[in-house]
Amino acid sequence: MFQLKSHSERDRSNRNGDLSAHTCKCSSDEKMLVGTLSDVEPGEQVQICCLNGESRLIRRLSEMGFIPGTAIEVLRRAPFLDPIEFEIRGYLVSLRKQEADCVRVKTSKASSSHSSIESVAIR
Amino acid sequence: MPPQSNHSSLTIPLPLIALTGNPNSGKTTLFNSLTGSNQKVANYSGVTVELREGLVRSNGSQFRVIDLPGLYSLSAVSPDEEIARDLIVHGMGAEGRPDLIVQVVDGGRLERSLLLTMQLLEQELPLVIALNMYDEVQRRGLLIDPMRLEARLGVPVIPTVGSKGIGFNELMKAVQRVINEKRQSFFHVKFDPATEELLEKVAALGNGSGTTISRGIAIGLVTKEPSAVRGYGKEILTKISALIEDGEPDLGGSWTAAITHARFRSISEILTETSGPRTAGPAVSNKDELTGKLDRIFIHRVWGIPIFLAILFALFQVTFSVGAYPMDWIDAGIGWLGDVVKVNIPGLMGSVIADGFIAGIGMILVFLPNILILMMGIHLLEDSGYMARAAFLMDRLMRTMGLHGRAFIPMLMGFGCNVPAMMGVRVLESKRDRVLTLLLTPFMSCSARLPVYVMITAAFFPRNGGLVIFGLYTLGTLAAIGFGKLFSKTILRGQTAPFMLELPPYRWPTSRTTINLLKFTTKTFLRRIGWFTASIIIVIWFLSNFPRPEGTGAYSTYSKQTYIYQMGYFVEPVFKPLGFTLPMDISLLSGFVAKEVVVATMGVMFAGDSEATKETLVEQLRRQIPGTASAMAFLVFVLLYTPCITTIVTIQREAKKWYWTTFSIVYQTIFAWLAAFLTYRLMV
Repeated sequence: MFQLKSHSERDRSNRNGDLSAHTCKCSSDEKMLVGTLSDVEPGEQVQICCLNGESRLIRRLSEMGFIPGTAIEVLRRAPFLDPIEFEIRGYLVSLRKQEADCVRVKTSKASSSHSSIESVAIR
Repeated sequence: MPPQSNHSSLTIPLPLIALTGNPNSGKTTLFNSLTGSNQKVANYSGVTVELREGLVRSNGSQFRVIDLPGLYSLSAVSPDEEIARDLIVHGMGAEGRPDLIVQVVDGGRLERSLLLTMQLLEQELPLVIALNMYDEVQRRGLLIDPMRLEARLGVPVIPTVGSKGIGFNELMKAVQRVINEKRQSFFHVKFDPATEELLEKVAALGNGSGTTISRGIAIGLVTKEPSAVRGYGKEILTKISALIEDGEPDLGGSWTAAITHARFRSISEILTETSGPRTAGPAVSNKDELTGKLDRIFIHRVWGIPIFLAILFALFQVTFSVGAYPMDWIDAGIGWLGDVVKVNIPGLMGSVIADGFIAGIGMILVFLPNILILMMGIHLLEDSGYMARAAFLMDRLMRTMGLHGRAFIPMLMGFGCNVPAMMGVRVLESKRDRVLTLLLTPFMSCSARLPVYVMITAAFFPRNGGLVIFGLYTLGTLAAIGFGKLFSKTILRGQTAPFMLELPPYRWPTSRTTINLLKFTTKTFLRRIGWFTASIIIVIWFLSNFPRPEGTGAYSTYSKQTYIYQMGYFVEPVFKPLGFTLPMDISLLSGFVAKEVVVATMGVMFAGDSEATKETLVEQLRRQIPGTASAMAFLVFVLLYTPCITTIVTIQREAKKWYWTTFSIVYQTIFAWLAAFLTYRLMV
């Protein structure tokens, strides 16, 4: 179900000769739950699965260390709920919800029985 | 000690060293400590940000050091990063590429910083790494071995503590050594076989067409880096595109992704090899405990904003209350100096010097205490790491007007005085945000406009003066929000960089940097803004006092012949629909100099008759302004049109484009006219 959006995005970006946006191959299976970074509750640690969005943003995110497989922890949301603060690769960074939506993350079911991502994956 | 004479710098060019690094890596602190007070604003053609250049002497050699804007990666996403990138990759106009790059690396965030190192190494420029904040590295027990890192990367890695000057001698020795030996690193990231093959093919295309395509440029071409693509013809680019389309990296996905992943993999390996297993790998958290604790207070969901407001209130109080004392001293000093001159040089000459020159310069000097205190306050917030937290807290609100969270503090300071507020836009990283903030700040009703409101409400709205003044402040703020929305959807659309706000660890600000900043601010303010503004003030003073009749008399007897009076006649029809009279027109013209003189002009200039001198200012105002509708329209106009000459010059100085300055004056004046017209029509 997540494939739908990413397909249309890829088609559009390919027409523009843009190679940075590519298909996100993450999907929920028995072991993993998938959602976007903005859905994760503060205090949770998840793993980056893939990036999906405007090429300039993807490039910047990956250069800041947002690489598939990287662990990232959600620390807190700002008083107006946006932006959101994260810890990744030993430093603190905040992203707006809009940008955090471009980061698909996964968590293993076993390690997060209290995970909020569950609802996202089902949605 | 005098810096080297211009003569010698012309004959033997000194080696040019560019200081680069991630934002918050302590780059500017290191630059300040290295160069001391030997600093100036560097002038490079086409460069729109302020770059500072300084002179460093070490072991008998001299170097020019330039402080580039901070950047995370050579594939720049914001205009300021583009400038830094272009200066590194293509050189600075006639200057050419720098002779050497010093990358300042925050030892606490080594993994991410090394990405830029990889890219700099691909550029094949001589490189030295300053492993900065090394004291923090040691205190936190991070396992980094500079020697092994140096051996692995093939470039000198020198531990430094920018704030304390530790390691500078070694750093400059390494710089000298690399320049002398013209040493290049042998290190490069090994990509997957498919990517390597593609890079070779691209390089071969260059050989075929007679140009050399280095590995760094080949990578730039494959990742469609705009700065790399720029220099090549359509023919070769089509061929490269074909190559790119043809293949796919071994792990799938895009070439850009493959290249970035390979770089991070390589960084991981390097860290493992050079520092033992503990700090390597993304899963290991090397949290800064203190920062975690402070963040739980400062950006708490409930307490974060009250604490922020309290800090702001303190900053505001200190800037404008404490700043008022030195302002009074300067005012008194200037007044005294003027009197002394008038007593000793009688006649016209004395008046020209005292009322023109000295008073004009005085009007600029009085801004200085406010500016220095505010700049120091902002600097402390910035240096301690709090500014990024403030941006985090306020970002959602500021976004409604198309601005970054960081713009909140400069905008708010505008209520005190627009000039220091506009100098505060330097905390914004992108040029687009700076321009937008500069365009909106004048709507923040500054304290110089308050006396105008107070006098006129006293004369016309004695019962609801407070309400009227509050309404004016609200109107100004709403105008800023409205125009912010409008501009970010029209003339300043789509230039924003992705929002990635790093929250650096909390640190104690250093006095050395602060003192340097204050010196530098004073110097540039007086030189760039002060002289120009003072001369405009003198011109306007001339216009309002000349021509004079033969022999001198009281001010009022000859005022009707002055140039400004004639200009008043000229603009009278323009302001007629707003219900303004000639005295009001002329006071608005003089208000371009400073809002403080608006009421005074109206009072003094037209107190012509002898019985008028017995009138109070309120009575004079009642006589000059026809009615409440005119008075209200006048207040609205004063709120919204260009605040003063100094703000105009500051906009020019900070935005560095005459069209923004002109646009600012024009749109504000037109908007002021329309709003005043509407007010007048509604009230008549």
